[in-house]
Amino acid sequence: MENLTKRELLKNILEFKETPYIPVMLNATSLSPALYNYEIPEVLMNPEKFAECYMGTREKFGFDSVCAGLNMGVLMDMAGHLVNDEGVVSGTGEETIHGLEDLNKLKPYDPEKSILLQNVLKTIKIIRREQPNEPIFVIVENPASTAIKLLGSQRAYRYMAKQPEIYMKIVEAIEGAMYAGVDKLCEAGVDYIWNPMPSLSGFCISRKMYEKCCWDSNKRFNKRIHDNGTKVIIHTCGKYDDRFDLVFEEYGDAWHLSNTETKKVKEEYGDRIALMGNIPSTSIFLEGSPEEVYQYAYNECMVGGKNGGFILSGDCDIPPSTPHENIRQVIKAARDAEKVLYKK
Amino acid sequence: MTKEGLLKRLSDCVVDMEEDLVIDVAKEYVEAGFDPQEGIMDGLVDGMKRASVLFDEEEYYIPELLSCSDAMNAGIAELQSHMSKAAEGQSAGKVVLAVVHGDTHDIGKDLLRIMLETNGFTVIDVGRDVPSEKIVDVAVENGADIIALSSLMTTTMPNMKQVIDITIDRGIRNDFKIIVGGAPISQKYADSIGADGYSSNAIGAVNLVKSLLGVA
Repeated sequence: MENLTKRELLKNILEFKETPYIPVMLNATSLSPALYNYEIPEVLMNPEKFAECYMGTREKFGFDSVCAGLNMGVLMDMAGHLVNDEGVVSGTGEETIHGLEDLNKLKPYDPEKSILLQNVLKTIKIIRREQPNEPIFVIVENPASTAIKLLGSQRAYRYMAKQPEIYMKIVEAIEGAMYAGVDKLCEAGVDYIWNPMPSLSGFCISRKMYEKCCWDSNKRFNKRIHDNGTKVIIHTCGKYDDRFDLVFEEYGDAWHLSNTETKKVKEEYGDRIALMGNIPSTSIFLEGSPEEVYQYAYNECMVGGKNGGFILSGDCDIPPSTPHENIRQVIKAARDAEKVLYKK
Repeated sequence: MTKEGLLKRLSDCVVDMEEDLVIDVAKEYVEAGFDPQEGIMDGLVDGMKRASVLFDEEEYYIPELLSCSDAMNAGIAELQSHMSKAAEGQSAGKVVLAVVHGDTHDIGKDLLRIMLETNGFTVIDVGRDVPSEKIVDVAVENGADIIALSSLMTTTMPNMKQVIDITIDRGIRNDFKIIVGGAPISQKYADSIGADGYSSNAIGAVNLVKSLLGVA
């Protein structure tokens, strides 16, 4: 193990090879800029600042893996010029598709000209140069989730309920652009794509609707990433207990859990898919005492880390005001649990 | 058809998300000489309450609930066109509803608005991504009983406390009950920022509002 880099260790864990290490991979999306007094939009437009705060935050606390970007610019580039529900040019592309006819107004997506994607690619280069052994990930929502943003969630959900074929056509219409963007990320050598799906969870839509409207597209998208030789961590953000069997067929290498019990998922799927999680970001990470955080994190490791295939994490993004000592306790818990689990 | 039969059809149209059919049934109901107010409460609102139960039981999810509310609103618009202003009923209380500054996730807020209106409350929906000062201003201008705040992101939930702090700074904290909700929020967090109540979902929030205002 001593000879393996952290990138290789993570790859082993995602491929279920014996690995006496529990990575601590924290999504510090808002915490990292906050520590450097940067705003998120500011770092998105500046690869040097982005790399500085995300690498620096990782280094400060000693957790594993660095985020290199929050999206690929598909929404902004294709629909940023369109008018949203409030009657103004959106800039972001959100809530700009009001019906199928608006699809004709979308601009083509060119990865070479996409400012946001090019910034992410520059950030990847900086991180790779500065912290070569560290796994790099990019946050990318899949086409089904992106279509919800493009339509606006309420319109998207109304289509799902009454005209699902329209929603599905919109998903299909953006898949090509999303493939083109994600291909570039894979070529740039990201270790994994972190794919959050909060809008598709059981807090929002039924299992039946998930299967009908999103499942095929999710499979196509993750398979594309897989075929590029890159790993996918699916963030099952929200309630997924009733649909883990569907998600299992979506080519994920790991599930980043929330709103479920790690023990239950480990028992049912833990010999077939790696798991990540599952410390509640608000009630434990933010609000717990250092002792509570340590104990929760340690227990998660003992449950999830049995027979390997486990990454310790929060159940979502860590709040920016999380006490720093709580973050340190999580890392300590992983190191202590390894000694017991893997007889180090 | 009997009055009971038409009320049942109005209710069923809402549950079945029949946004077009509900208008025809509402017209038939009024043409038969029945009371529009009763049609709203015992037909359309009854249907929305049944949909809420199905939501609670995880038979219905957000898409279905939104479509039910579309049907209910279509029916209400039709019946209200046959009502005098005086007949529109008394409010159970006034709630100012907003998604806090920086956050654009408004489905939870919109579901709560539907549920509150269904239960007879007057709702002033200030929208999403609303500056804290504006939320307090609207509450003052409208003499609200409750300020209900939603946040779906850990990055924006501190703005709930900002709203509470503004009411303290202005010396009007006791003029309103302030309640909070949204995915990252917990009872502990609500207590820590001095909110009067917390609910994890829209149906619970309606019960919370009723309890805080002493409405049966």
